[in-house]
This record gives sequence, C-alpha cells and structure tokens, in this order.
Amino acid sequence: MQIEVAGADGVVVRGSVFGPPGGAMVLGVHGFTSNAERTWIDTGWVRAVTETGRQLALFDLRGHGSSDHPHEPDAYHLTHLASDAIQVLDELGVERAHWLGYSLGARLGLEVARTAPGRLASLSLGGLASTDPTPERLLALASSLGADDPALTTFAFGVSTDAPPMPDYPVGIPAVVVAGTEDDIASGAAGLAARIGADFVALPGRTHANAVTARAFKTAMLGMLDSIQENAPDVS
Amino acid sequence: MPEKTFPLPDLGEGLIDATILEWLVSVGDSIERNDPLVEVETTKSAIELPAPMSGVIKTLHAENGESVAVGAPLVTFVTPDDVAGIVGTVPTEATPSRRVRLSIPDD
Repeated sequence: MQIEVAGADGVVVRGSVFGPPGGAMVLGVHGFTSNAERTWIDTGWVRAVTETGRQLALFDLRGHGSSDHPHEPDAYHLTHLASDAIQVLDELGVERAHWLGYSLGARLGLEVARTAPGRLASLSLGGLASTDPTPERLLALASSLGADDPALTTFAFGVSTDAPPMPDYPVGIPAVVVAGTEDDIASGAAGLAARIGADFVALPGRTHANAVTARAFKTAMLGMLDSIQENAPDVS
Repeated sequence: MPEKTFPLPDLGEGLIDATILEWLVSVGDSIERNDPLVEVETTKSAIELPAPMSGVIKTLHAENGESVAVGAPLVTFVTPDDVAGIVGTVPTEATPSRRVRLSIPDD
C-alpha cells in the first residue's frame, strides 16, 4: 500500500506499507543520504518483519527519495522530520508503533521518545551517534558515501541548527540499541544505550555502512518485540 | 541429482564486484526460494540477497569477507530428482519496487 502524507507545513512525504493488515505496526525510518528502499527493502528487513505477522511502514524522509525536497534549511529542522513520522502514523490510524530507526532515523526515534512517548511501543535504534554531528561532519559523510544531491547541503544545515536536546535519561519505553564495532559514527552508542535504559547489541566487524543488513540486528529487534507481546498481548 | 550454480547478479550502478558480509545459510541446508541467502556489500550499499530457488546448498563459492566479481559463481544448489524443475512457492509479501535477484546465465 502506498502512502502520501502532507506535513503541517505542506511538505509531502511518501512511502509504503508491507505485511498483513491488522498486524502490529513497525515504522522504519532511514538515515541521512539514504531512502526507505536502500535502508529497509534491499536489506531484507521487509521479509524479516512481515514474516512474523507484523506490518512494516516505510517512508522517505523529506529531502530524500520520493518525498518533497524543500529548498529552505528551516524545513529540515529535526522537529519537522520527527513530525512527519507522527503524521505517517496518524495517516495509518496507528496509535503506537514499534520504531525502527537507522542513524538519523534512530536519532528521530529519540526525539519522538522525548516529545510523544505515547506513540511508541518500542525503540530499535541502529547506528546511533551519541552526540549530534555538525553540518560539516554530515556533509563529509555524504561525500564519503558518494552523495552529491545539493538538497543534502540544505538538509545538513537545517537538521543541525537549533536541534533539540537528545534524551540522556531512561526513556521508559522498551528499547534496544545496536551498532557495528567498526562504526566510528556510533562509537558512543553503548554509553548512550545505558543512559536511555536500552539494551545494547554490538555487531562484530560491522561499519556504519553495513550494520543495517545484519541478521543480529533483526534478531535483536524481533526478539524484543516478541518479549513485549508475551508480557502485554494487547500492545499496539 | 541436478545442480544449479548461480553467479553474483548485476547489482546495478556499474558495480563490478561485492564483498560477502555474511552467509545466512550453510552447506547442507535445505532452504526455500526467497529465504534469506547472503548479505553482500558494494561500494554503494549493503544488500540481503534472497534464495533464487528451493533446494539444498551444495557449495558456497566465497567465504565471509571475500570479494566476488559480478558474474562469478556465488552458490550451487542441488535438487532431488523428483522435485527438479518445480518452481518454488510464490511469495505472499508485496513485491518491492526493485529487488536484485540471482539468475542462471543464458547459455
């Protein structure tokens, strides 16, 4: 099923939903310079999630993939990006979803945990940096990944400007943080996991570019969801 | 028993090889078409390739961490005679817009 949702400022994000109607909803949120297809479809996540009877909703962040690419840095404020995700849940009629985020998508999960924790059944966060990078660091990352879309420069400055504080307290939501042992962007992920009250899983040998496909990431996330369902069958 | 060898498929964007991140199957495993087969990484991204057919894994042609050229042998299946030629079950999930698949070269 295709979805198309306009944010409060009129920017439209687009995505799709996989899996059996009525199944618990997982929301996959990709990172800077990527898109839903590369992060969640090409990597085997759709099958991994839907074969457990759950649904997986995906969308492209504004400034990425099939979604609108506004030209003003203000449009990419972290709060707008998080708000788009909430709008997607509203459009789908989902009160609480399991958040599955990678890199910036993981950071956005923490923003929703700060502002709207009632919308989250759990958090699964991969490749998460423990401090927000500067726009220069983001652009260096984009360059190293071969991304040259001019919208990414606007995005990098918008998302880094006046970003709200990252939670460094227990978020009160079942959460797991995973990071590759060779991921220098997420090198502080274990400490951050401890501060927000999340479990931590290290992925041996994985980097920021290849941790997202890891079977151990999928197992950690789905294992947590199974344990939540056992403890509270009515969740989501 | 019939054998089928699949090469590393064209992963697009002019890429000529990929590195095996992790095999998700072992020699001797009996797997279904579309089961997760292997994770590979290119200079562009990491990808999970699904099994192109149902059968038993006979040979994995590269180790974890090794580079494989597009078109070079990746995996060999054997199929019992009595099921050879039967196409695997049709997946019930929605078909993604783009999905890299393994296929046998025309020869």
